[in-house]
Amino acid sequence: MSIRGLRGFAVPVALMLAVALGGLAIVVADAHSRSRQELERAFYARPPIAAALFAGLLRGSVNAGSVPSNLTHGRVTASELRADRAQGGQRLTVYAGDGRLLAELAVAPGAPVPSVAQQRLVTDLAIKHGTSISSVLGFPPAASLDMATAYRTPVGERVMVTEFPLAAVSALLPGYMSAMVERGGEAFILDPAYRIIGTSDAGVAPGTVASDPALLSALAKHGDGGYARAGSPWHYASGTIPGTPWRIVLSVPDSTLYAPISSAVISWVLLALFALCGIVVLALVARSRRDADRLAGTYRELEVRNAEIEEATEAKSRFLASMSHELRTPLNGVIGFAELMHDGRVGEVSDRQREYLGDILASARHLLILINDVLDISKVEAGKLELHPELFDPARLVTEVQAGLRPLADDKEIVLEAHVDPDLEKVFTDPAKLRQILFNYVSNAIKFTAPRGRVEIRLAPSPHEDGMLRLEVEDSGVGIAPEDIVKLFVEFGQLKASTGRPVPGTGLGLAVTKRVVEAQGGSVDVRSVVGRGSVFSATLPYRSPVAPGYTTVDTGKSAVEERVG
Amino acid sequence: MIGDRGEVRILVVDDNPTNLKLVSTVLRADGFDVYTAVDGGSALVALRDYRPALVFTDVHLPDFDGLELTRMIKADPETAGIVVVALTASVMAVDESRALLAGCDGFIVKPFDTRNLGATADRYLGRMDGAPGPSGELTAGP
Repeated sequence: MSIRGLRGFAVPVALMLAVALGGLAIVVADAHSRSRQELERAFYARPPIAAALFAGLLRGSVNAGSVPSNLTHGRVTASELRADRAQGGQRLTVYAGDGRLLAELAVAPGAPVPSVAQQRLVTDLAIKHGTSISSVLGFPPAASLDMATAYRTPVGERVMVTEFPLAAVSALLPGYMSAMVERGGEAFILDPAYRIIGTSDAGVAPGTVASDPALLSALAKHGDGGYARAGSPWHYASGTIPGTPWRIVLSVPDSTLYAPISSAVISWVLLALFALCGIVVLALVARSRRDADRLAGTYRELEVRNAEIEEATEAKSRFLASMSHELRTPLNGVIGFAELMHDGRVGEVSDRQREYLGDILASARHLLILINDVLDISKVEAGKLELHPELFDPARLVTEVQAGLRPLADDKEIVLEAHVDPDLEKVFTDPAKLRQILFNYVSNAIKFTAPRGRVEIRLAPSPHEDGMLRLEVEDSGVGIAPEDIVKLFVEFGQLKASTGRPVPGTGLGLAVTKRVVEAQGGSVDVRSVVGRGSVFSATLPYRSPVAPGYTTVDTGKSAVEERVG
Repeated sequence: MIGDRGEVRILVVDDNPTNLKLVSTVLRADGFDVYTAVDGGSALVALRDYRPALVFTDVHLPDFDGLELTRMIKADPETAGIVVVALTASVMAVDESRALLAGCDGFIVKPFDTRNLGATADRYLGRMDGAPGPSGELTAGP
């Protein structure tokens, strides 16, 4: 992406950052503005939640156990159930009566393995309630065992005390806990499906309610609800488990109680960061979509413009073809009837009339050449110049052009000579184009050469460039001033004669020649000395017939028969 | 050879009266038996009535174009043997391709060489040696 594009990104990103940071500041300020009393009130107001929280926390721990995949969930009987400690207590395996391996529980080294009481309870539960093996084996890991302490108070009340971070609110699952049972001096919490979801350990957590029987009694007396004592950093919430003699007491120190603030802040920060990321991503997506739209727009615009240009070129081509057609139709009548009369085919004409008819013909044919030239130029411009290369004898073509123009030369008593390199037996190029070039050069040379002058045609392989044909037409004409040479090949760039009067010319001939030559990958050139004459040349590619890959089959077709125009 | 031309019927189809007159004048001067038509419909009538050996047809005609006329001539077994040569002022390569695709035996562009038209007709009719070739328009001076 360009620097400009990145700069474009910076503004929205900075804006979003500002908004996000602002929001964050508000969140943090809000968290800090909440009074201790408010937090405490929120905590104490929901004692049943405390019990549920505990269950949820335990459940999270339960799920941390590893359960093998071949575990069955069907009911088992006592006779079927056989638990076994293997490998020095590091692994607990359970088999069904028929010998199937029901479960295999790996116990981490150093971690407490299920106690005998636990195993016994599992067996009892499985028999009595059909508890599935999977949950039987889902023993809470050591971490959760440490978090609960079971007590029997002096007044006979059963209390399980636990501590946990308030952030575990998310694990709240009402009704999750349904029973507490004691077995072998341990207390177990069961879920409604009689699966063990928590156990107590035998120890007494220092600083908790357990070390203060008076507090336990006070809690029992207060019933469900929150409780705190002046001067103590501990906060309590207690609730009874319906249908059991057990009460769950959640004990939370100040540090934990107020942790929610930081937790909440962290949560908010995370939320804000997520939101920020989301906004940035959305902005990037929107931006890239805008870029894509803009690109698509530009592309469509270019397509439209391209289509317009193509249409215009097409229209120009159609116009030129139509113009050529329209001009040729009347010209056909002019040239045709003039020819008929000039040749005396439709009756006798006087010499003077024949001369004038000849002038009409010359003018009309000049007009025709101009029309053809315009068509040629437009074809080259439109890239539609068609080349039809074939193998032919260049000497024959030169002779034909020479013969065609000899009357013009004879009129001015100009010597018209041609020299074709004997090595050039056959050339492979477009004969019509070569003829067009040669015709143009030679007719110009005759036109600009004074009577009794000389015009020479030379055709030979280029001495400088391999595979190129060099055509030269030299005249002993008036010559061209250096400053005029550059104008020679320009459309209608007619030169002025020494008299200041424009010299007659085809106007487009040299321009067309240059384009036709260049379209074939060649080049044109002119050397001239004023008063002594000029040499017009063209260098054209011609593929040698002796080169491998070309057959030297004579088409038998005369090159001059190729239609021009 | 020229004497035989009187037996050769040529139909010239052109909606431009000047050109129609020019072509027919040139061919008559060369000794051919010439019939004319100014549109496709009258050309079909002339084809039936005169049974020409050769048709010179313009491409642009008022009712249906010369290429359609050519297709009709070539599609009918009774007229398929007639030589059809397009004589048109449309000189683009695509025009020639279209004409040849339509079934034209030749393609001559206007302005045509009045001095060669008769000989060209002879070649198309196989009345002279050498393959029939297009009659090139002149670019040289008189």
